[in-house]
Amino acid sequence: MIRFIHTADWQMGAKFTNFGELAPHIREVRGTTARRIVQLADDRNADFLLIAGDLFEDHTVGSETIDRVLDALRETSIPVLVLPGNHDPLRPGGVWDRRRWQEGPENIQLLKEQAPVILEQAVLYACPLRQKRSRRDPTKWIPEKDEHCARHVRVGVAHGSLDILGKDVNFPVAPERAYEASLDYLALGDWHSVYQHNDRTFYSGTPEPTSFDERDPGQVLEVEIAGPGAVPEVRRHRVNCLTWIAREHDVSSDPEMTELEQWIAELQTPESMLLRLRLDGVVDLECAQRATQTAQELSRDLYHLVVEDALQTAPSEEDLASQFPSGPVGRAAEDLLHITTGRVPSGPGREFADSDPEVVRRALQLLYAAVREVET
Amino acid sequence: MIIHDLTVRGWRRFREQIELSFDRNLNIIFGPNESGKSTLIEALTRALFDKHSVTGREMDSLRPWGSTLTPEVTVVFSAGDGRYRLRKRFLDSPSSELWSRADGRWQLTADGDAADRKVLEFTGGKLPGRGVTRPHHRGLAEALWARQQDHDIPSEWNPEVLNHLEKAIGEVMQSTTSSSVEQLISQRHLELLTRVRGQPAAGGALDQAKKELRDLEEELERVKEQRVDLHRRMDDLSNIQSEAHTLERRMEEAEDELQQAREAREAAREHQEMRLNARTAHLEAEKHWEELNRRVKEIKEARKAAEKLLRQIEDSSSRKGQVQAEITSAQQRQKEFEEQLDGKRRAERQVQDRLDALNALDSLRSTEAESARYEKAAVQAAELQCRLKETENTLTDGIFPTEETLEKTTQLQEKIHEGEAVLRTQGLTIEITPEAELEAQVQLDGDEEQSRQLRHGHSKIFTAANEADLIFPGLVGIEIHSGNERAAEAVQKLRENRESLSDMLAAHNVSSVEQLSDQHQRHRTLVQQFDDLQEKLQGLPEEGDEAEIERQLRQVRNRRKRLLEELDGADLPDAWWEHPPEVLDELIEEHTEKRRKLQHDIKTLEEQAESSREPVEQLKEELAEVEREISVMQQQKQDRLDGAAELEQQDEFCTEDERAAALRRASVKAERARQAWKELEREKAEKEDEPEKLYEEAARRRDQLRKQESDLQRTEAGHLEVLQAASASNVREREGDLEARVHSTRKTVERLERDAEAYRLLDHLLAAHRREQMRSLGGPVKELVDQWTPRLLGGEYSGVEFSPELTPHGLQVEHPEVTASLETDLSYGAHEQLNFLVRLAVGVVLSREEPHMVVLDDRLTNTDPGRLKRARDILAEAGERMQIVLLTCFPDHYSGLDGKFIDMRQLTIDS
Repeated sequence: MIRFIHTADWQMGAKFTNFGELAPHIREVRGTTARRIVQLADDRNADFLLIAGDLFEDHTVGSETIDRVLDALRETSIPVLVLPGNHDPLRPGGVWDRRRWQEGPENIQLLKEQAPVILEQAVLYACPLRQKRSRRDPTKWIPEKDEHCARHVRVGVAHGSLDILGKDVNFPVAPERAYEASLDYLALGDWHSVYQHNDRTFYSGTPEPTSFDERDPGQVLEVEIAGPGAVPEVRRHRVNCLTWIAREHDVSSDPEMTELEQWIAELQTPESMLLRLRLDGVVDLECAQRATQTAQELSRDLYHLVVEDALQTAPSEEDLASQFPSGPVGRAAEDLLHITTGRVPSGPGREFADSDPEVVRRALQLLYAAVREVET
Repeated sequence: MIIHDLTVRGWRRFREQIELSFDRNLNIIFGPNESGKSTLIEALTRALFDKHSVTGREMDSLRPWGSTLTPEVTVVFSAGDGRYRLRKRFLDSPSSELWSRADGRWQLTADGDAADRKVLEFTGGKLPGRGVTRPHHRGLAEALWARQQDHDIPSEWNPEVLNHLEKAIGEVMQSTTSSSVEQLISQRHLELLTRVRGQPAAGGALDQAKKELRDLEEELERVKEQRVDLHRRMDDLSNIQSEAHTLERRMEEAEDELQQAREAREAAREHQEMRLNARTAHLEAEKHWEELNRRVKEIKEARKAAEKLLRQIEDSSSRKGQVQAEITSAQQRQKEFEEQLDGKRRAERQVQDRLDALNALDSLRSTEAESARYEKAAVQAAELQCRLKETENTLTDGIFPTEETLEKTTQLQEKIHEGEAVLRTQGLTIEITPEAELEAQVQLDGDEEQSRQLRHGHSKIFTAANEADLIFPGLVGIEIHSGNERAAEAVQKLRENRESLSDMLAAHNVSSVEQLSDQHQRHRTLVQQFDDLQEKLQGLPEEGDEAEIERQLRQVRNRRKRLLEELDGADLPDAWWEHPPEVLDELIEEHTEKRRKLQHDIKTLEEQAESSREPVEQLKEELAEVEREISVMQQQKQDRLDGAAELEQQDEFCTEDERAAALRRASVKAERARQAWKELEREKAEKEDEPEKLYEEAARRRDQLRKQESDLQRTEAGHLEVLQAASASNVREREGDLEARVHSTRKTVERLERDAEAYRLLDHLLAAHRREQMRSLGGPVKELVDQWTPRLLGGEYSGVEFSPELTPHGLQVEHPEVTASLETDLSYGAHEQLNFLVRLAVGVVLSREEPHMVVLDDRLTNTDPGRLKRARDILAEAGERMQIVLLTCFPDHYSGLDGKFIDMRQLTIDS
């Protein structure tokens, strides 16, 4: 029986440019995730740790990123088998040629060749990538049979897309490669979401999310195979440090607004959460103001919040009369409302009818905010 | 708000307290300049608007001149529904107290700053940041109070005025919120953008965000370039790896080729050795043959040379004989010349002897002639001495006139002529023209003239003192021309002169002046003759000294004797003794010519003899040369013969045949060696050069490949080093951080830009509505002013143009499209009248809900009496609706108005 940890797509050194001052920290956190994986491998008495490509985001990553990985991997003595993926393919002068990497711990083995790597009870069919893009199946070389069949568990490790999407993909992998090549397990990398294709074909996904669009990331797979030909037993383990959540919320009505506030109140570990909140619906100015205030309050608790304001403000004439003072301000608010709803104002506001609707909408919000500010 | 009472103390000219009460309608405070009218209004202003604690130079100047009195003012006023009393002390122990009237008593409502603030609530004023208040701090007073020191109506009223107008007019709801919101929006707008061009305001949030974004983008660009360079280097490295593989294969091929070439070159080296050996053998055989050949040639040449020298010796001997014969011949010719020369020289000597004799003969003749000349000279000298003596005697014996005498007689003669001329003009003149030749006797002046020949037809004039003096006997046809009294005197003088002349002539034994002159001339000739004789005498030899002549004569005779002795020995033809000198001269000349010819011949012969001597010398030298040559050649011939003999003795082959046979054998051997060498030379290109060339090419190819390999390795190492360094400096991580910051800052800029645009839109929209509101607010004020304007200024003006800020800027005239500008088209009088009307109109409108006070401090000073009268009517009308305080120096202008007149002089007296 063998047991190993299947992981991939650590994407160490990814930039996270949309997160401003947080970007360095988001990169740094991935070091903690790496330690968690190593700790898990030790805890589970894994025979080896298998990283199926894209350990690094790019060949130009700096020493601090390489050190972050090596510092984590130094914490275990089990073999760590690293496959070059499409982000870090084998190429001269690449990250694998860095002195830091080459001076790393001896238990790390870079899978440089398309060749079987004989382990104690398993033989590993490595499919390293040497370029960023290709239409060729990197697993095609794996022999259906060889001298290792009888005594070793056959494990394929590759980085590419299962050719099941019905479109051209980078490094396509034959969907039934595991069976065609008589593999006991095919460990795949590239897709950041956990995915099981069949009994023997798995994507581990990224152990630490990299975007809001990933489905169920933040996990690694513990794979246990009783012996050659046995069906693998795969267990998932959550290892991520940060949680990325994308949510859309319609706040057109008070109950919906209340529901949003309720959801926010019940959030678990918001301090490690990156939330992308899209606010939608047609609301009055007060509601829009309330939603904005709620988001502002929430942003203080969350690790990071991105609000996509898709609200359509549509105050009624009555709202205007009650919410804006008489005189120039009240009349201006009325004009702005007319312009946002496609009507041409009468009086002096007529000359502003062609203004950018987005600017007009914002102007109305700012005018409303100014009135509230003066009143308070 | 209106004022009821005002009390002022310790304030500028009011050292003592003065009090005055106001009517609730019209008040006219009058007094001369410097009587304190404006001081009252100033006290009112400080009380109602300034903090009691305010200090500064302006406040210090409130004290009366030279005093330390504390300025104090008390005002009783109504505002809203209440009545208040305000007392303020400034500068020393400043205080502020506000009482309100309730239940018939004054109650302290507030004091200190609270009292100040409370009053400002009534007046609508606001406190400045520091110092005293200005008109725009004074709420409604800015519009209603026209103080002397304030400007006319400002370009924009303060908000308090507008709010009160709104309230008073009641057309719109009062909204301070709206005003505050407008201010806030405008402030936010201008924090982000400039007002006019809409550019980011310097130092504003948008400006700073944009600057930060620019800086970040520039830094990011640099880092990106660095990372792009890293990727390029990695691409290069891939290519280098590929090239290195190719190079490796080519290197192996090159090494194989080089090994083959090296082996071929070894074979070539062996061939080269053989070739060089063959060449050495060939050269040695050639050398042996040449040595033999040379010796044979040398022997032959030595003998040949000896024979040649022998022939040359014979030729030289023959030449020697010829030269000797030529020398003999030349010497013969030379001798002949010498003989000819001797003959010529003898002849020349003979001729010379004859010539000497001829010359001596000639000299003898000359000596004899000289002797004769001396003898003749002695005779001449004796003759001359005799003639000299005779002349001397004549001179001594004769009577000769002196020069003076001659001159004197000449003068007398001239006087006589003059006298005669006088007679001819003054005396009697007779002209006689005879008809025939005749001899006539004329008696003139009593004297009888000799007969005169009168020629036929020729006139002759005679002159006499009178008729009686002139007698022409026998003549006819006498014509007497003229005569006068002076003639007698002239005749007298003439007669005297004639007598003097006659005496002088007689003394010299002559009868006329001409004879006297001749006598004188003869004297001069004799003197000249005497001198000439003396001179001739001196011209004789030795000055005619006879002794000297004698001595000379002796010498000449001695010389002749010597010559005769000379000639005595000479062989002279006898005839020569007889020859005359000219013949002797010819002979001399002939002999001289002969001698010259002989001398020429001698010279020619001497030259010929000399020239015949030179060839002989040359021939002798030539002979010596030929003899030397013969000697040398004989020596050379002997040397050659000795050399040939020596070579023959040295050679192993003693005979000529043996030598020829040996030479043939050496020649054959040399030819064989040459052919063997040539054969190897022909093979050289193929067997030596080609392999060498191939080896060099192979080596060069290998070296080039090595260099390429080395270059590639160097480039690879360089790239790797850069990549390692970039990794060490975390370029990508820095790029990521920068991109994140750029992204974040860009979002901020976008948000700020959107907000800025929104604020700009809001600000402009609000301003548009504010202008619209102003237009509507301005209606009642404009209505009143439009009513009053034609009344005050006359019918040509129909109304007033107001700005959107409700301040007047022009007058409408009757022409519908023309507006008279307040600033440029109107007189100062019209200008102040319009301001007067606007303040009254604003006051009237504002007083609709609560009466207000309008202050007009000396405002209509430039207004004519007609308009002043009409202004008075309007004042009376306005005064019914509000409180007016009018200050003037001319109370008569306002006489007849129904109001309270307050005399400042009286007020001062009262105090």
